[in-house]
Amino acid sequence: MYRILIADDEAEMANTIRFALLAEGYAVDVVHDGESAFNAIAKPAGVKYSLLITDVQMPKLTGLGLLRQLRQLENDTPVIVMTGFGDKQMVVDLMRIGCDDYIDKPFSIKEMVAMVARVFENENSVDQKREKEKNDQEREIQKYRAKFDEISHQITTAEDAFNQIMTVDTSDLPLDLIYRYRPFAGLGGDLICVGTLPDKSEIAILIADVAGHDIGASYHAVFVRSMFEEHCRLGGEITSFFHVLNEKLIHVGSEKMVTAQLVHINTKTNVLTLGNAGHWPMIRVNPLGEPSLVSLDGDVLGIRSDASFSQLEIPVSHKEKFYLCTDGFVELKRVDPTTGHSVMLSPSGVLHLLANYPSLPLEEQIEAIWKNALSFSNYRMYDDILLIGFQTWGANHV
Amino acid sequence: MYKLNADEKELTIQLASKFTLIDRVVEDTIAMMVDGESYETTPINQVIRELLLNAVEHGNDNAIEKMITFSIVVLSPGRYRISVLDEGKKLRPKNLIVDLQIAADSPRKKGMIIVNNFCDDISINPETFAIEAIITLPQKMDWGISKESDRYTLLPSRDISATALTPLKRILREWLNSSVPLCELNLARVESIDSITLSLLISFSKEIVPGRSLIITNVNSELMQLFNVTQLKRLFTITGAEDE
Repeated sequence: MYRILIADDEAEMANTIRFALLAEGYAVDVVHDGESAFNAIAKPAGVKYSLLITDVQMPKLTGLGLLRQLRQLENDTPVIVMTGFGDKQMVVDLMRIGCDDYIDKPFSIKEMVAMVARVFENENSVDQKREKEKNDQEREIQKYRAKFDEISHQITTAEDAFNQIMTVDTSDLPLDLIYRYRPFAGLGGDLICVGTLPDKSEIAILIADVAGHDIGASYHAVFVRSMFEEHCRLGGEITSFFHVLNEKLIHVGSEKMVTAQLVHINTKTNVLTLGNAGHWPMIRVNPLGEPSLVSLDGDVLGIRSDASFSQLEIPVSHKEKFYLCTDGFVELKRVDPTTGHSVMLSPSGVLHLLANYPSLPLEEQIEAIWKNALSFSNYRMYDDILLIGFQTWGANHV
Repeated sequence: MYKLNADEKELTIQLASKFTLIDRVVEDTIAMMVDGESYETTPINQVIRELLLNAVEHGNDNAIEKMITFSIVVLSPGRYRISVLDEGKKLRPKNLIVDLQIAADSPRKKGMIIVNNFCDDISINPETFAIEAIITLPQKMDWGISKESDRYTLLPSRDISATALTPLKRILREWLNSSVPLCELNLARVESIDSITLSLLISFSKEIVPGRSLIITNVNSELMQLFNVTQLKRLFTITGAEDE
C-alpha cells in the first residue's frame, strides 16, 4: 500500500486532502511544518513514504527548502508541491531541484486525487524501467561472470595439463636426474623431456625454451614435446631431429624462436652426445668437482629454414655431473640499489654457484643452486626458469 | 585526515587508514613528483597502491584512527625511494625476506610480487621500521628514429620487449621497402632484449637481400653473450660497446 505524507501548516486543508486520499485506499500521515516533514522522510529507520505532498509556505522549513534538502541527501521520494497561483519562477525553481509535479491553489480535491494517481502511475513505469535495466545489467554481469569462470577454468585446466607435461618420472632412469622449474605466469615456454631411445641403453634428455611465456608459448612447448616423443620412438641423430623440428615449427608458423639442447646418453658405450640449437651452454662438472661450459654452435629453431646445428660426442666417466638451464635462469638479475644498474647471473655466475657446492649430492646441490640464484635476484623473475642436473651412472647404477 | 608536505625533492603525506585515500596519494604523488611525459607511471602507481593497501589492511588492521606516513624522495631523474610507515607491528628485515620467498611460491601474495617485481630493492629501515622501496621508472619508449639517404638509425631509449614491438616492426618494414642500403640498430641505451624481439630480428634477416644490411651496434657484454649463443652474429654485423 502506498503511504503518503502531507506537509501543510493549514490543518483544515491538510485534513481535507488526507480524507480524500484515505478514501482512495492510501495510507496518509500529516505534519504541519517543513522540519517535521524532513525528519519523517529522511530518517533512515523511519516509515518509508511513497509520496510527499507539501505546501510552499510553512514554519521552520519552506517546501522549497524541504525539497532541496531531500534531494541533497539523494532521497528520491516523489514530491507534489502546492504552489500559489501564477508563481512561475517558483515552478521553474521547483522543477530544477526535482519536484515531480505541482498544483496551483486553489484546486479541487478531484484534481489532487487525479494528480496523485498520475504520479504513482509515472513512478510505476519509471520503477519498471529501472527494474528492467537492473535485470538487464544483472543478466549481463552473470554472462560475463560465467564467461570469466569458464576462461578461469580453461586456464586452470591448461596449467594443470602443462604441469603434468613438466613432471618427469625419474624413478626408472639409469641415472640421477633432478630438476627445478617455475613458470613466470602459470603457463610457460620452458620444457623438459626425458625418454628412452629405441636402443634401450640410450637415454634422451631435452631442454627447450620457446620465446615468450604465454599460452602460445605453451602450445609450442607441447608441440616440441610431441616431436621429442616421436624422436624417442624412431631414434636418429640429434642434428636430424633438430632439422625436422625446425621445419615443423616453421610450418606451424608464428615465428616464435625456440632454443634447445638434446642429450643422448649411451650407458653401454659411456658416451654422451650433445646437440645444440641456439641454447645456453651445458655445464659439465668432472669427478674432481671442476665445472666448465660445453659450448657448441647451433642456430635457433622455428624461424629460418637454412638453420644449421651441430653435435658433439663426449666420453663420460662414472658420476660426472651435467647441468642444463634455460635463459630465464641464466638471465636472472639483481638491480644494484645504489646505482640502479642490473647485474645478470650469467653462465659464469652459475659456474660460481656450482663451485660453492662441489661435494653435495646432486639433489641437495640443485636445491642449493636454485635457492641461491633466486636469492641473488631477490626472488624476482623475468621469464620461466628451469634448471636440470643429471649424474651419469649415479645412485641407481653403482 | 590527509596532510601533505612537499618540496621539489620530497613529498610526505600523513593519512588515516582509509582505502579511499590511497587513490589520492597515488594521484598527488604522480602529479607532483613524476615526469609522466618521460617515464612510465604504471609501476609507481602499482607499488604505492600495494604498499598502502598493505599498511591499511595488515599494518593498521583497517583501524581508521591509525595513521600512515608515506614519503617519496627523488634520488635521480626517474628514480625514487618510497617509504611507508604504519602504526602496526614493527616489521623485521628477516621477515621481509621470508615474505619475498613465500610470495615467489604463492599465487595469493600478488601484492608483494608486484612490489618486488617493480622495485630495485625493498628493505626495512632499521631505525624507523618503515618499509622502503627503491624504484627506477622505465623511460617511455622512444625509438630515436633518424632517416638519411644512406641509412636508417634506431636508438631505442630503453630495453626492448614484446610489448613495444609494433613500432620496431613498422620501421624495419619501411626500411625493407625503401632503397636505403643500411639500417643501424644502436643499442647504447639497451640493457636487455627479450626472446620475442630476437625472434623478430631473426625473422627479418630472411628478407634482407644482398647489398643491404642491418647492423647492430653498441651492444653490451651480456647482450653480446646472448647474440653469440643464438648465433645472431651469423645473420647481422654486430659490434660491442667497447668496439665503438
